This record gives sequence, C-alpha cells and structure tokens, in this order.
Amino acid sequence: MLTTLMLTMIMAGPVAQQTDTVVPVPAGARLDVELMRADVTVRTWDRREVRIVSRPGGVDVRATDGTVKVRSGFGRAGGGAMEHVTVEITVPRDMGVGLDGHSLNADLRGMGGEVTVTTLQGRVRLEGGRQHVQLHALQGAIDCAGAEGRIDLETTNGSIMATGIAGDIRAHSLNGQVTLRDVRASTVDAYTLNGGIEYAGTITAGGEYTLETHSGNVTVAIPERVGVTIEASTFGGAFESDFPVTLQKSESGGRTVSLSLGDGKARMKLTSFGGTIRLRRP
Amino acid sequence: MTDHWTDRLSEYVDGDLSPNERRALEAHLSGCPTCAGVVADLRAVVATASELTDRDPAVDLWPGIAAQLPSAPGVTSLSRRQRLHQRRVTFSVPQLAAAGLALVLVSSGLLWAALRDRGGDVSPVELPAMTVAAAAADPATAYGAAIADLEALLAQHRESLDTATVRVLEESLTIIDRAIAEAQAALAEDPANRYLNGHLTTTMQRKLTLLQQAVSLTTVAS
Amino acid sequence: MSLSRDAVAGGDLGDARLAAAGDHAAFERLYRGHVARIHSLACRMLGPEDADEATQEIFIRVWEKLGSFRGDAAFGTWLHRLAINHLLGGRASRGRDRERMRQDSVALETAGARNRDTALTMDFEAAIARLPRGAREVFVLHDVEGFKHHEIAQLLGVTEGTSKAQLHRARMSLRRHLER
Repeated sequence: MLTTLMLTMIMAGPVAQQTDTVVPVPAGARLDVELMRADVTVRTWDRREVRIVSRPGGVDVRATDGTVKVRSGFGRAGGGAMEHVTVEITVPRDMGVGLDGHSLNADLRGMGGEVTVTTLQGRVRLEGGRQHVQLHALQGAIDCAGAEGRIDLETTNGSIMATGIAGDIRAHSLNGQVTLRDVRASTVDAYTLNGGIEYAGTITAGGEYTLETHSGNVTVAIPERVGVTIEASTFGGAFESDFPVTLQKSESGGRTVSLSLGDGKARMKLTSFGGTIRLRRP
Repeated sequence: MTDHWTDRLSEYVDGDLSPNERRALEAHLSGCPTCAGVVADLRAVVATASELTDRDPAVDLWPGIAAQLPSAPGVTSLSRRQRLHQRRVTFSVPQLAAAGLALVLVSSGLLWAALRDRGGDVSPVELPAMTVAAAAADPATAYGAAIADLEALLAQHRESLDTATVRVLEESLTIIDRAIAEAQAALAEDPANRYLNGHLTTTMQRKLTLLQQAVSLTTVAS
Repeated sequence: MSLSRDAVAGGDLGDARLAAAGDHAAFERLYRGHVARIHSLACRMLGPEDADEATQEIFIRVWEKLGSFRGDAAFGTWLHRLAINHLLGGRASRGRDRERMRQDSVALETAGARNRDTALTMDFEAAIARLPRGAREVFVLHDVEGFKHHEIAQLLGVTEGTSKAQLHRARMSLRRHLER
C-alpha cells in the first residue's frame, strides 16, 4: 500500500512537453490509464517501478492509494480536441493494468497480472495476462495470446483472435470472425452475429462449449481421444462432419444433429442460422 | 430376451390393451427393467415419428411434371417462377438491407449526439431498470418495449457522439436488424419452431445490449 | 408474411378449380404447396431412390383426376389419400428386385461415416426406408401419418393383428437408431 510519502505528482505544462517519469511501486500496486486518443504500449521488467514515457505531449501521472494513474495532460477542464499521444509504459511483471479510452491502440506484452482494456475505437493486442483479462472494444480487432484465467473478449465491429489461452473464455463479436486456437478451456462462450467461429483446442471433461453465430460458419477441430456430446443446429445451413452423426430432430428448414464421442462428458453446443457447421478431425 | 409380454408392448404404448391386460403388464413392468427400457424406447420412437417434418425434394420436380401435362389452349405454362411456399427460406441481400435499413432509420434516427469530453468527474447516465419478460411468447414484443425505452433515453440526452462512433453503432444496428429480419421472416413461415424463437430472442437481446452500450456512452458532466 | 390457414385453403380450392380448367400456373401453385408432404411420404414409403419418380407420377395422376375433386374435403386431404393409394398400389410392379433385396437385408446397423462431403450418415428417416416393406408401410401409416389399425388393415388388405405385429416389429428395429 502506497503511503502519502510516496505520492508523486507531475503536472504536464501547457506547452507540449514530453513526459518521462519513473514511479516506484510496492507489490500489489495497479496501473490505471485513461486517455482519450493514444497509442499505448505496455511492457514489463523486473524492477519494482513504473516508467511512463509520452510524446509529443505530456500526460498527467499521479500515484495514490496503491494505484498509478495516468491521465490526459490536456482538456481536463472539458472541451476541445485531444491531442493524440504515444505512451510507452513499463511495469513490474505481476502488476495489474487497466487502460480506458476513446481511441486507444493498445499493445501489451509479457503481462503477468490482471489486464483490463476498454476502448471505443482501436486495436487491442495482449500477450499474457493472468487471473482476469477483459478486452473490450466497440470498433477494433482484439488479439489475445497466452492469457490464463477468466478471459472476456468483446468487440462489436472487429475480429477476435485468441491463441494459447487457458481458462474460462468469453469471446463475443457482432461483426467479425472469432478464432480460438490452441485453447485450453473448460468453459467457452463464443458468439458472433456476422462472421464465423473457429475453435481448435482441448475439450475437457465436464466442460461447456457454446459457439453460436447467425450468418457465419462454425468450424471445430475435435482432438483425439476426447469425450464430448455435441449438439449442432443450423437453420438454413449445412453440416459437414468427419464423424458419424445422428439426425436428432428436424423442424421446418432447421436441423439438429448430435453425436457423442468417448465418454461424452464434455458438452458442446454449436449453432448457426445460415452458415455451415463443420466438425473436423485435427 | 423375450417373454410373453415383449410382443404386446407396442399395444400397451398405444393404449390398445384391455384394462385387465394393462394392469397385468404394468405389474410386470415394475419388476422387469428390460421391458421397462423397451417401453421407454418405443415411446421415443413414436415421439420421433410424430416430429418428423416434410422437406421439399432436393431437385425441382416441377419441370418434369409440367412437361407431361397436356397443355390447354389459352393457358401459358410457366417454366420457372418464384417459389411461394418453400420451407427453406432464402433471402437476397438487397431485400434484407431494405428491411434492415427501414428499421435502422427508425431506431437510430433519434440517437446520436457528440460525446462530451471525459475529463474530470463524470457520472454515467443511470439506466432505467430493464426488465424483459423471461419466457415471452413473442420476443419482438418483450424486447420491443425495452428497445424503445432505450431509444427514447438516448434521444432525451442528446449529447454528441463523434462521427466515427456513430458510424460503428449505425453499421452494427444495420447488421443486427438484418439478422432480426431474417429470423422473423423464417419464424413467420414456422411460428412454432423452437430454435427460431430462441434465435430471435438472442438476436434481439444483442440489439438491446448494443443500445445499452450506446446509452452508456452518453455522459452527463457533473 | 405467411398466409393464414383459411386463406391457404381458399387458395387451394380456387387453384384446384382453375387447374381443373387447364390452368398450369394454378396447378404449379398447388404443387409448390404440397410437394414437401407428398415427397416426404413417398420417401418414407418407397425409399429415397424411388421418391422423385413416384412424386411426379402422383401429381400427374392428380392433374388427371382434378375433375373429380368436389371440394367437400380439403384439397390436401384428397391429395394425400390419392398419394397413399398410388404408393401402395404400385408395389406390385415397382422396383420388385430392389424390394426383395430390402427384405433380405439386415440393413439396420449404423452405416458408419460416409465420405467427408456427405453431411449426414445415418438418420431416422433413412432407417425407416430400410425397414422391410410390410413393417415400413404400417409404421409410416400409423406412427407418421396417423392412421388407425383398422384403416391400415383395409388399405393393405391384412388383418388388424398383422398390422399391430408389423408396427411393433418396425418400432423395435427403429429404436436402435435413436441411441448414439
């Protein structure tokens, strides 16, 4: 817990002035960044310090109550366009990080703590992240690699690509492809309205996997020696399967097929209104 | 494995046994898991058979039929025309875009205002409690009310969002409205279809969520 | 967008009258409205390979007999009865060799995966088509079409007892195809 002795305040002057600040932080401290328009890069190191470099203009950095806060150096009084800044931040590996903005391009690597990124526009790339990862954009692609824990990826207009992640995963897009590869998850909730879903990963006993799209295809690579019960429904689309399936029921124009592999202990539900559902051998 | 009851099990399932026979069989079933399992299986077969639905042939057979009909004078034989009652519903994108666009004009015409700067202390707009009837017979009705509330709220606050955000939200609404139109059209052909009802509900929920997101973007400066 | 049942029925009667007078367009409308039902029935009674041809024959028969449709029953009901008669009546001559093979086959086991490009391998309807003819006809008429045993006995020229036994035999075969 930071004490007031460690309080550091740096005010960016009215003149465009670079920021290059180092703030010592104890274990358990958090980084909290709020910028209107920025390209933010976050990297990690072994020091118990946070370094913030910003150009062309400065940013406001404060450390209070266990949190290092980074805010725009302009327009705090309201009104006026925000200058776009490029910010590079280096943090201790296990530090929790939160980025929030209007137009943020965020690029975080080597993260060993919790990560939250929220932006209206912009591309989000994360490598790492532990326990809780939340990447939300309104417009922009989300790229998440190597995260572990509760993972929540959401964009309205953009694709989601998640590789090498583990845990409980939620990946929702409205207009964009959702790709989950090399995934080790016990709960997967993947959704897109206009776009396809691709899943290649483990299917663990007792796990629940829901992949749903309106107009795209759903493609699942089924690993060897897996135990899963699959229910796949499409209204206007088709099925393709490398495995024998049973037609469970067919209502007008819609069909559901089911199959069970191994002990059937995991549950997978695949739905597409108009697209094709494919079950592939790996 | 057979016993003298095995051959009567279908009659039992159909209610064709006399009361005495039925009682005797039921007494037997309580002590015979094999027969009880068969009864369950038979009921499942009957249920599946009753749920089978009809499908159009994979190939259009009409040309072959038309070719063999003796033609009557004064009547034009149509070789190819739009299907009127096909079960599998197909749409052209322009048709859907037209439907979707009309809805967008209604739903987003009131919406967009510029986002005020988010410096200092801002308090987000308090959303009214959104309650949607859990098992609505008509998802359009249940969600329609909640969606209308949100649209009114946005119109009320009237703050400006930047054009890029507006564009994204409008494009997203177009896409959702198109999907809703597809689902509704399919549902109109088959109103009892459980999958379609659930799908329409899910899609309308997406629209609701998007509008809630849009509302939360409009802030009231403290 | 969908028409109410009354509107459709009115449409059928009107179209039947027009078609009886030689209007091909009206007959095509009737065809479009009922082909799914007739074709599915033909599939289940005869198997998919004969269903297309049988469906065409049925509709041509309908065209020829339109003059005798009085409109006292719904057109769909009339058409359905005509189709059943045709499907049952043709069994003496149609596909005799194929029929013999079916009766001899024990084709009730799971077929296994076809090649990748085929969507479904085994389904309930395919299992129906593989039943021996007697059991298949009774099953379709009773469990799918809803006829009673005494009606089926009349249609097929068998006793009610035979109808019940065939139904049971069909159901016992088909239950294997509900399991995984």
